Amino acid sequence: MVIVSYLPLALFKTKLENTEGTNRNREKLTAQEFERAFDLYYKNVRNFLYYKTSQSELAEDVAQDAFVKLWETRDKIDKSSIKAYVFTIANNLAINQLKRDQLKFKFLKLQGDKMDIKSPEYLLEMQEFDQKLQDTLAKVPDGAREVFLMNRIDGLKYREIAEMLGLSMKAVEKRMSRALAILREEIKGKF
Amino acid sequence: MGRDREIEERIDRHISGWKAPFEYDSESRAKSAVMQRISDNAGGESRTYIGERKPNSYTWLKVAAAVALIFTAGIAYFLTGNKDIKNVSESFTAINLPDGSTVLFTPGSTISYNSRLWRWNRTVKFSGEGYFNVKSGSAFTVNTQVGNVEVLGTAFTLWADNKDMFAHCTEGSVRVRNAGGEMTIVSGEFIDIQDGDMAAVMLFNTQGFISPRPERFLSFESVPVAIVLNELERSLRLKIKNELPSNLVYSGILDISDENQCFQVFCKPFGAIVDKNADGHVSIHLK
Repeated sequence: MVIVSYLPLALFKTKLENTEGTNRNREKLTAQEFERAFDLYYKNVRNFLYYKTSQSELAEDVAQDAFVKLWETRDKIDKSSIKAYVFTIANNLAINQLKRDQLKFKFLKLQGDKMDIKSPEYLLEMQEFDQKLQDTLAKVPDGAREVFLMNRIDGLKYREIAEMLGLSMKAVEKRMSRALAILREEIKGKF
Repeated sequence: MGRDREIEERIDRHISGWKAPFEYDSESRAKSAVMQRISDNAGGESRTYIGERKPNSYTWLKVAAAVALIFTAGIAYFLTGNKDIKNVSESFTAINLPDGSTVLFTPGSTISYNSRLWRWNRTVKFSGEGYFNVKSGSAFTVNTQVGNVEVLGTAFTLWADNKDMFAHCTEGSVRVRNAGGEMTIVSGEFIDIQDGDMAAVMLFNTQGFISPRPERFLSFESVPVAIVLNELERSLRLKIKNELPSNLVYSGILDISDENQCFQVFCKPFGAIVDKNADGHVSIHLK
């Protein structure tokens, strides 16, 4: 009964402390906000790292490191720039860890409605085309390649890519054009 | 330009069928891994995090309410175990306590105990006259207004009101305590505390005890008349005004099934008279 009688006071104190805490750290990233940021951006960050390094394990590890770092510095960041901040962390960590080996992409093929029975010759050509495209992507300069794949595979709009990578829309457009030009020239002579 | 356009469309067609080489559940696994790392690395930092989200005031309310509910339910659970039994019949009544011990008690006697706590605390509050047959086990204590009886043996008779107490041990031994001290009696011995004064303790031999008998009889042997009348008062549920000299003692058997005969038998040795007024109160005095 004593406990019950003290409940209102305890609740009032808790409410007061919570309110004061919010005021003091208005911009501090909360646990809920961090979790939401993870849900929203982890996949994009990880894929970005793969497009940058072509190493899936490294991409996963660095993406996770980036979010751990985000949490550790949560009281120093502006919540309105979380997206760009986590991409910047990821990019910096990847640069530090990246071995300058030759890039070698191995994208998975989605199983869709293109499962019609094709001739062996056609399938072989497709396989060759895929391989050529992946090899050519490895030759596209850093920056342009990530932007291109983020747009084409992840379906991100130029504006979204610009926000994530801290670029201007114009810069994104230029990188897209550059990537596409290289791919086009490399493929054109072969197929 | 036409050729360039064709190549771009082909490139787009191929790339649209690609995905980054990660398993479909890799994101949830990554999330768990990150949360675990954050939790493990918390160190000096606040460990508040996913899975253990910082509770808001509403969460505290639920927690506090749950604690209060459990606390109240616990109290209620034990309170519902309280048993207060008064023998309102006109005969001896036997009750079984939770451990199988039995109490045979006279009309008007009361006994209280908690059945929920019995496992840990074999204690009863008692007033009146009762014959206790106690199962072996942890300490068995009878609290009265005059003193406490701790059972060391297995069977005893107890008589207690708010001033006086008698205890007769019929098997084993019992220890009687009150503010004045304590005394242990063994089988066949009888202890008497009068006016709560341990100094007045008397140790009787086996001829002096009150025998518990499940009939309508009360048996006394050299018992002060005040005690006898108190017993009659409780057994017959009457108000009795005792105007007899305090040094008188009574020996004999009284049949309480017949009130008039009971008083006649009681008064005869002293030549006393019983008056009963309109409201049923009885006074007993010498001629």
